[in-house]
Amino acid sequence: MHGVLGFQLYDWSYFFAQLVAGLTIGSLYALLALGYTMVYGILKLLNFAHGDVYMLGAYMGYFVLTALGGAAKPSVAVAVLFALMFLAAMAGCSVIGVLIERFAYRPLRRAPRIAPLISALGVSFFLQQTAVLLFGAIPKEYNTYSLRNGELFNSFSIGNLRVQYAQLFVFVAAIVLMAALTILVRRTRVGKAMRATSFDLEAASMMGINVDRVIAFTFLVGSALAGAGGVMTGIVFQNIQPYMGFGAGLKAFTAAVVGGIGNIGGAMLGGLIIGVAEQLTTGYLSSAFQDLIVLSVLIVFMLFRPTGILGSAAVQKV
Amino acid sequence: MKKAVVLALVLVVAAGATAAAVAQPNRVQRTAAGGPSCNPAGIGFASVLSGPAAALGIDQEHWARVFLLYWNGGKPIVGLPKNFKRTKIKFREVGDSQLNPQVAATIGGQMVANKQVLALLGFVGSNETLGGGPVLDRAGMLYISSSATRDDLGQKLKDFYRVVPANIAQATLAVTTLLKNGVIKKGDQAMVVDDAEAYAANQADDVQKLLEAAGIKVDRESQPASTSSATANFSALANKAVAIHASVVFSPTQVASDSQLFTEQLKGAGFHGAFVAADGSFDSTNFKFPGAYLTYFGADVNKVAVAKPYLATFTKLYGQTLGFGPTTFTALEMMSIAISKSCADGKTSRAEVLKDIKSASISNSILGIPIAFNNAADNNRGPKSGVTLFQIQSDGTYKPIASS
Repeated sequence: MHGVLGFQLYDWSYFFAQLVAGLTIGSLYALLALGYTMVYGILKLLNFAHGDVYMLGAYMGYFVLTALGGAAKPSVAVAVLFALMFLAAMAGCSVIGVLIERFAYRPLRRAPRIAPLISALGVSFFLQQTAVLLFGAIPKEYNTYSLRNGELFNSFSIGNLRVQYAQLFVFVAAIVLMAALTILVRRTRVGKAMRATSFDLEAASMMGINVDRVIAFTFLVGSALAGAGGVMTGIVFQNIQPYMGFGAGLKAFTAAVVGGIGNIGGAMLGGLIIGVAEQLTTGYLSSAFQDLIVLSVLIVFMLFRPTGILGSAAVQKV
Repeated sequence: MKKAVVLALVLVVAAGATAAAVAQPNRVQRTAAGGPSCNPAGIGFASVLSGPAAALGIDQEHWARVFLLYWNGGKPIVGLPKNFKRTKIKFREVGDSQLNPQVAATIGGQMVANKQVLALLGFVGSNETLGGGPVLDRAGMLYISSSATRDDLGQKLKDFYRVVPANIAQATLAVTTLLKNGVIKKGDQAMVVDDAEAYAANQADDVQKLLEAAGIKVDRESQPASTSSATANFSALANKAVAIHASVVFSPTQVASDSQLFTEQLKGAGFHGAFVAADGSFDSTNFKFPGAYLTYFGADVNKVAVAKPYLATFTKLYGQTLGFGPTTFTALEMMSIAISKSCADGKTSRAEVLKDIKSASISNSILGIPIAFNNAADNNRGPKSGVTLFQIQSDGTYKPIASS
């Protein structure tokens, strides 16, 4: 059997194909990881419901897609279609994120650490089962392979590098969103307030910062990014189902920890590393080791660098 | 503020309770103590009704209920003689086995404990059958599965029956037909991908053995299906299939849309070989990649003429079928025949039903084939034949190209 016992190098075009695929999935993990890292940076809370917000974002994008004629025969231009899908998902997930913070986490802010954690798990299950009840358990399909006869999945080559337009779209869109977040955090008043709150919540409050609003805004932004990630997942991977958030959330959490929990740049880097590690493991060893390798990376970081790649030298925290 | 929180919590709990009540109608019918009744006769149903694979089980349950509508209503049923004396059938217990063998064992105990349950329609998966089957065997209760195809179930379990052939039948038909048609040949490279659970792993094992026996090299991989807690991504395997110059990819996943995604990602990676799926992907609305092959135990219910009225009833009541459940209609038909025979004198028992199932048979079914438990290779617990190899046409329809 190839793979496990016989390590095959193949060639450079194969390596680049796996690398590009890894960067694509890694971009999605990075978008999700940002939400985890932002919330942890301020509240020291692992928001286990974040993966399910991503799932709801995927469904919101799906319903907009269906309402506008579906991928096979959209009633608007593709650019307008995608813009509306992203807007709906990001706006909808923002609202959900704010509501989750308001009713599931804020009342427990002064409670022992375990209480909001359990609340987060409860919210996760609540969102999953609500999605099952509302949307059914049968997976829905974006069917974007039928969008303009599959043009989105055509590819172009530059030497040994072959890239599909869909992969390029996901990577560029993720980079744009992450850049926008970085500008928001570094160059705006609200970003300054977010950094201050994450540094010391009580002190920020005493300085006149409305920490409740800042925290709500953090959830709003993190959830919007998750919603965007959900739509991108639907566009590239087609299938969406109510339980898709759990696995993606776990990988994104791993990415956030590897990159340095509480660090935005770390979350992005961690996501890309995890995505590439997955793809290269499947490509050069075996798909059976995919999750093993990813979680082994987490364990190695926990043992030898528990603050993550960028954790100790955090330039900015949210 | 506290009032707002309390109010919100109360609303959430109320919403949850309401949703649970709406989504879970009273499924359990318990009766007074006493011997099993023939008026109506009681059976149990167990399938995956919650969790990521719930769609499969719900499809099965809906087909079972369509059958009961026809059976109890005295309406014509394909393959059943017109003058056959029917005993009315009722679900006494409905269990959610969650594709989990431990849960299936608990469900089995629940079925056995209810004396009004004569037989069980289930389980859905091979893994569950291995978990719950021994409980039913000890109690001497018949259980008929409409979808558990792992090869060794007929040998391992005493009172287990199935209306579908074992995995080896599909694997054999697929490999021998592709060899015969020159799609694959000795010396070629193949990739075989299972979805990391009992059914697909067994099917993939069968395919791998047959390919290797034919002198074809096999790269064996494993990729969890999208019905687990993640969305499947086959891009790495697609790139690998191209890099190893595979001439065929076998992927017996249980999720049709995963097969569609895999074929699309293979195409995107520049793969030009053949793709072969199995019965789990038999769903022409979700898997329609032109040129791909797939095996199934029977015909496409959407194309079987005799299935039309039942399909119309199903669609009217429950919307579009997933395509996974029609075998449940057939399994319940066989079970109902056995129960009716055992109730001929107005009395019945689990032992009588077990005795009468051996002779149950139908001349035709909504799968388009006759059904009888006459496969000696399956310990006479399943049908001999009933496997078809299809190739997907350019318009997405399934064309049969070989059968056994």
